[in-house]
Amino acid sequence: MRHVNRALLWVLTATVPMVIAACYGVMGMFTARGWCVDRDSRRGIAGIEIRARDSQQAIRFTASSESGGAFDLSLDPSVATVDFVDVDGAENGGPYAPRSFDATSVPQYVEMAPES
Amino acid sequence: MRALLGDWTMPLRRRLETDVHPLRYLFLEVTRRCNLRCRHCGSDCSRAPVPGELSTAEWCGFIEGLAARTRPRSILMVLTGGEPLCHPELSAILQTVRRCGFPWGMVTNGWSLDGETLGTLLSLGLRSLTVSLDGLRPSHDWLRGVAGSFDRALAACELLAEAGPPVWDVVTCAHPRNLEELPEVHALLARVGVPVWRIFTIFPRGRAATSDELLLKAEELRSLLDWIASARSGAARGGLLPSYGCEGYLPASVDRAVRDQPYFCRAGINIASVLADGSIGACPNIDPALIQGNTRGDDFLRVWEDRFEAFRDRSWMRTGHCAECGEWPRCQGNSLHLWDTERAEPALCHFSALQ
Repeated sequence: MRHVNRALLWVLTATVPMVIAACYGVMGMFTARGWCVDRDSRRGIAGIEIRARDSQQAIRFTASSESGGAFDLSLDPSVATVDFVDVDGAENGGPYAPRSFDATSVPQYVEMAPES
Repeated sequence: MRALLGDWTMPLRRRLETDVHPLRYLFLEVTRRCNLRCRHCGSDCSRAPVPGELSTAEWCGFIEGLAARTRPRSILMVLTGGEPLCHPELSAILQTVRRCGFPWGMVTNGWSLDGETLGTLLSLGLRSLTVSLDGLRPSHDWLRGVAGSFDRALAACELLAEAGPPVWDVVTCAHPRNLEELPEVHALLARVGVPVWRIFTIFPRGRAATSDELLLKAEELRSLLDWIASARSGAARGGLLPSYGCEGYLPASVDRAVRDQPYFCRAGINIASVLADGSIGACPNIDPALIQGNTRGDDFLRVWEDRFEAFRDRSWMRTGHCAECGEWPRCQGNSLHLWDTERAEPALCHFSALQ
């Protein structure tokens, strides 16, 4: 049952991220979870580089989509935008055009389209 | 739309998060030493070193051990105290936190936060900082017990506005002496460039347990929340929005008017703490009777996984005035730091205070 709940929570958090700020603690983090998928085939894409940027466009951290395209990001409120960039070209089905989202609006399925 | 969705999904989220209880937020009470003498201190801190505190080596060992068995980037470490900047070897602890990959933040009274110190903290990866500022100069200094503490806290805010970490904010403890001046404080903080302002109320714990002059009466709490709601609705787009801290279950309409996100006491669900003596608990100010273990003798992650039952199933709190309350399914005994073990009921019920 706990596995089911974990999966449900994963989906819920991907849909509605929330900031955790404990009593008298600092402003906390929220999470963004989902999958990078090929826009046409819906196949998950591994190896997409994910760049979290602040409002000055400085990169706060990078991560990569895992097998099946899954990503799981913990973002603090400083992260303003999240970029999804294909860095391995033809490997994993690319090359794909980069995508960028507001940090609080990263969709559950990040659809990657072939680079034109 | 997202806020409405957040409200609507909150009961489900609460149930799921309680069951899964992913650790997201870990307080490290690195010391109980403090350079101020706050009348309301929930930790009952002192200027002198407190016997039995974890050594720097113990802190570093704990942090390294945790990093080896978790995904560090998913856990925010929050250094608190006492005053964390009073720890003589804070840099060594922070270097370990940074090396292990934990994002981290700090709560400070601002007294020691000069440009050099801030530069050091930023170089060690500071992500989020909270400064305590409790009113205008007379009421802040009165509450904090040291003349000049207001000026230092304000100077820290000015410094942060120029060169602060990615996230920072101010928290203010509302009490009867500063209630009337909150609009002035609001204007001051906006002028300085404070991006986020959270307002808390003092609760009967630590030194405040015996000090009625610090606690808001019901009508004062109502007045505070009315003012926050009014200031939020009247604020200019992009202006500084005061919000009421996460403590205390409120009627839904009030909750939405004074907070960015719906009430949810996450103590022991997403939030844990390691206190200065190694005690393992949830938020630092929760009743010591609810301590779950000690890092000196227990495996922290095993304690987090196997104990903490009292935080995740709060049915034991349905006693006293909570026993017959219709708000129980949503409130579940109010925030756990308000739980009074002796009385076996919350020391404060925000909901009934507002009726």
